[in-house]
Amino acid sequence: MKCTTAQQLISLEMDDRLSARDLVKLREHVQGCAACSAFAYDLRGLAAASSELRETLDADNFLLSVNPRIETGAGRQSLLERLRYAPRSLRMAGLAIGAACCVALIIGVRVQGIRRDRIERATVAETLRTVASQDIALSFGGPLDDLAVANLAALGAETVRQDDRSE
Amino acid sequence: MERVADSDAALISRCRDNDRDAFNEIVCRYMDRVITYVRRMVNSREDAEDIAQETFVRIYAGLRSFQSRSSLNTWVYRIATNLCIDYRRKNNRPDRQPVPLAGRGAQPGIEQVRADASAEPEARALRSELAQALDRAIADLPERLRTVVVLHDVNGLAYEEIAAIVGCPLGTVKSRLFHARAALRAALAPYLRGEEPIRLGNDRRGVEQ
Repeated sequence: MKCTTAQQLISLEMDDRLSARDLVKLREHVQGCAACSAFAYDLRGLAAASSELRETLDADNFLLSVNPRIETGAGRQSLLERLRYAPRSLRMAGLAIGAACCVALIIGVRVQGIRRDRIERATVAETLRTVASQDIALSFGGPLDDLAVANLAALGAETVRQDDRSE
Repeated sequence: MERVADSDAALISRCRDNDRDAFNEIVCRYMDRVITYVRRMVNSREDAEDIAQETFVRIYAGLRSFQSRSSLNTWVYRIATNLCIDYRRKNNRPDRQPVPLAGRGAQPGIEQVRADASAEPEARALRSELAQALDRAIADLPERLRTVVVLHDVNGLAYEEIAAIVGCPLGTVKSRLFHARAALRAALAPYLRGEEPIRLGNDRRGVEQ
């Protein structure tokens, strides 16, 4: 076992977070390693000293400061702050709803675009058909019969389909 | 007859019924833990007290919507943590100016403090000196390490609670705690001689508190 690994395990061992197997391995290492033995000893000393850093407040004075702040509503929170301190599940639900709205918006914009394209193409096809029928009518010197108009419409639709394919 | 202390859940329930005494009991129960934590996360005692007060104002405002999925303990620390973050963002300055450890080399080690335990006043003075040095060393730690070491080693929270407060995986808590302890040991090297052999697994707290 390397000393770096052993020292990480020592930190866990102090908090009873080491498996029995790892503890045996660690003991073997520490017994033969002065550096790790010193590390373990120092960490225990630090833990003992750390617990002496706890502070105390005078309850009466503290309550005298807190209660007026509550009465005056000093802690009134904005919507954003409320969301921030809300339970995790609520925040996650909000996030999911937000994400779903974004996806719906993107899909909506895309569908709208496709619909607009189709309408534009239909308009172009209709215009083509009208212009073509007028040109041909002029070249024939009179109005076209229904069959000629239908053929021209089919020709227009085919042109639009070819445009779609080429795109 | 002495009244048995209510559980957190019972106090929350009483608070929801507008029982102000129940809220005051919550404040008394948590104020020392909050001030101990906040004092080490911000740069002045006055600001720390202000943040501690604000923490309880927020708790009062949020008690009705508090769902008991997490413990009150975790929730209190999370509010305090967020307020500390807000404070630092507003002030936009380092938490504390590093204070050099005066006369490092001349200070006695923890083991000497133990040995002199019988000499009560002197031992108390030495312990206090060591605690001050440790306090300064903790203040010099990066925030992510300091949070974990204060919550665990000073306030005695479990790894799982810290992970919930900080919002990181359990493995990250373990790793940060190791790095924080190693950094503190390096900073307090003159105080810690680490010469005595140690037996792991037994005598878990080698140094009596």
